[in-house]
Amino acid sequence: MRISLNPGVSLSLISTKQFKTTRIAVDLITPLKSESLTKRLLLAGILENSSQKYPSQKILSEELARMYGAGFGVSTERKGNIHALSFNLECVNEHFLNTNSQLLEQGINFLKEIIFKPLLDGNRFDPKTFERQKEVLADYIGSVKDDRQLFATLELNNAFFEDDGQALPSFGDVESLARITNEELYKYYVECINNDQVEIIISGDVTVEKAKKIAASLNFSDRYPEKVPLFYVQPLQTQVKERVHHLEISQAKLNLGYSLPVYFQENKYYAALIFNDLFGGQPLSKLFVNVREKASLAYYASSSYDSFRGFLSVKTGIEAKNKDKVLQIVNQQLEELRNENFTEKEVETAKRSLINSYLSQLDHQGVLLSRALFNGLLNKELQENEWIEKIKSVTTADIAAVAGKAHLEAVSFLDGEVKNENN
Amino acid sequence: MKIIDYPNFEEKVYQEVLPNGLIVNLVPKVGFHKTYASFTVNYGSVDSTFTSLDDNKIMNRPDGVAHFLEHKLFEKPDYDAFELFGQLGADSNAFTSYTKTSYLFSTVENVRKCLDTLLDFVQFPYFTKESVEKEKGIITQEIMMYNDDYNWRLYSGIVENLYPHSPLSKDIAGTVESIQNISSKDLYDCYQTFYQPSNMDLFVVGAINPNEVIRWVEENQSKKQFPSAPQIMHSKTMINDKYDIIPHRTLRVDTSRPKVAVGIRGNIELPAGKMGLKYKIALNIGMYLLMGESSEAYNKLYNEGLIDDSFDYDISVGRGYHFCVISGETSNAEKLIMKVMELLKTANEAIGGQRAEFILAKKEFIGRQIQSMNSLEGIANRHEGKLFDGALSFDAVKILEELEMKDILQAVGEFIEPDNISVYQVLPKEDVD
Repeated sequence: MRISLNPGVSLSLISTKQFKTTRIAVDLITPLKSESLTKRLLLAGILENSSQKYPSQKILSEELARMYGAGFGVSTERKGNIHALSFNLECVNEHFLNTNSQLLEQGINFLKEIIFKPLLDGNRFDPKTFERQKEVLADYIGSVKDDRQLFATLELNNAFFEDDGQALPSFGDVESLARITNEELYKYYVECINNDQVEIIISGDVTVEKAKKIAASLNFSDRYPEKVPLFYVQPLQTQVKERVHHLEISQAKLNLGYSLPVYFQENKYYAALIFNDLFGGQPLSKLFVNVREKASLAYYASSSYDSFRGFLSVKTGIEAKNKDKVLQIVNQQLEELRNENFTEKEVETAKRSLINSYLSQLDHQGVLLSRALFNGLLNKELQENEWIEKIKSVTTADIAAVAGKAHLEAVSFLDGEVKNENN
Repeated sequence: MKIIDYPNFEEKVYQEVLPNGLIVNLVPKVGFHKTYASFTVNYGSVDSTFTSLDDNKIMNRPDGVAHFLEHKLFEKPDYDAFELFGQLGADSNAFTSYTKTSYLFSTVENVRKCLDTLLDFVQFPYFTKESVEKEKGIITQEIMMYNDDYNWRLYSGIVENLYPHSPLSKDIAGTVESIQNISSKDLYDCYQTFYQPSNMDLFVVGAINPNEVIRWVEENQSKKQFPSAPQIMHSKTMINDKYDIIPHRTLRVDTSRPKVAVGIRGNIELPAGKMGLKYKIALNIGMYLLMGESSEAYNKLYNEGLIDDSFDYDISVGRGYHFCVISGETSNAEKLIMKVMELLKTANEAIGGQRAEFILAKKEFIGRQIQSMNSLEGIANRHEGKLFDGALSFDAVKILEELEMKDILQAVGEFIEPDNISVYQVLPKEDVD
């Protein structure tokens, strides 16, 4: 259930007794801009670790412990053309505890302190916290290359996307981080608080009246945020862009990026989900079976589909010398899907598997929260049955047609040798 | 069926031991869509060495054989279990740890068929020379992938330091060399030795009716005959020699930030049954008070720039071993190691002075246990079987409520000894020019 509290501020409530916890998410949403990628992430670090009332990590953690180990985090998410700064709190329903504490009330008061009363020094954040969080973020960005799989994924992303906001990693880059000043960051945060679209989502054993009261107590002012299309659409590229890196690595990584211009919940979306499932979305897919099982060429080979950006990516871990062979097998699988070279039984299995995971996710409170957010942003709510019916009605021809839309546009490849590493 | 009621959490656990010795635990979860089942053998990577009681001989198998067996069990002459689960609408998977191998599925439909599939494929061994040879290529790739993961290298490096000359020092998947020696005969031998119903347990949690499920399981099992298994004894301890810890090693790789691990090996024998769980929880609270996120020490190290969010401690408890790994990325490995060593040296004084923090820690741990009851996987996977006398996360809350500061001090005091500490570092290569 989604309720508009005041202009630009909405509440979604998922009332359920299924869980032993209550969750609250406060999402501040704005159109994605490349220059604010790093700013938002730095804000998340600062706000997660300090506030005026809880000036140190120790004091803040103790407050969470007092609320029976409430889970708390501030994070950012890039989805299509929007960018969210999210405050999340999870606390135990006191019904299951020997206590008189009102944990939900305590939790919302805690969130209020965090969001509206950051640890300040005049018109900037506490300089020590600011500098330390900047350092932490710089260290993280600097060490990304150490995670080879992640690095291969980021490089593919960078080669594939034309728009900077999409091409850069979700954490931005060191150059823009270095440029951010404390005063500027605080000014930016005040703008977020005053102008961003606000989505408050609550899940748990909570009545509508109580949820409304809690959400209203956050007291977000009226706002009229800029509306942008939710989906990122990029014109087809004619040339395949390639990135190659030589690193010390025992297993080479080959990642492929395809444009697949089919978007979330539109007509062909359900066929695209099944296509991805048949192609490389799970361990029974063509990629896994043919690259790993039949050809023994890789430990992993899988695909994933981003329906907010019309983007299909394939990742594999292989021996470097097999690069061309793997590329050829991957393309061959796509070709087979285009030519309807798959059985009714495979489609049936894919449909079952998608329905299984859709329903299974209803057992995860965190997933319910993010589903509610995207339904809210799209301003439509799909019922479970509707979703299942749409999956069931997809035909073989629909799947082949979607496969025909996938178009290879970027390749990232990491290889190299490991030598004399022991001391 | 035995029913254990936990009215505070509105949960019930149904337990049965079948005539063939298989232990069954069933936990219905109201409001859930999914059912999760795990079928676990008390057999893991460390059991490449065991004693045959028939002739009292110590048996050795190639490292990585338990994991190899896990991979191969899915493949049958006329079907692949993985595909069969897929056709039923279920996800399936398996994992091997030091002392356990688990086979699992999760599904929203066809629970009975899935259960039969799970029990049948695990209880019907079938290995051929050809398929064993082919698997070697796949597992080699898996080992190589882990080889590139420096956090994994850090962890296995410190465990190797703590337990040299023991099977714990070997990678769960074995090595590229050791798996070349695995034959289908090895797989059959290990299977017959360990995959006996009395050495296994079944855990089913989710959208189930326990009375119905137990009937299904009984029907399935009553149709099967199990050959009498050779009598064996698991290795009792992973410690060969009290003084054999490797104190310090360094690995240099192409990484940008130093990674440090300090390991502590528990030299005492783990208390039996539920007392073992109490000991594990006490150690966890002890470490939390000493260097958890809300400790004085953590905050100092963080603000000095010596640690970041990657800093953590992990207590690992299993059959024949328990140890703690404190690890993180740092800008100054040497200094961080020194600080952690100092903390460990005066651990008991530092912990004992934190009466107020202890009360808060108990609250936090209780809350987290209750949070974990939201997860079907969490409920099933936290079950350690015989190790903790069948204890579940529901039991942990009671243990926590009764825990006193003296329990923490006793556990930590017994655990940390100067001779039991080791350091492993993964450092960037030095410039050679």
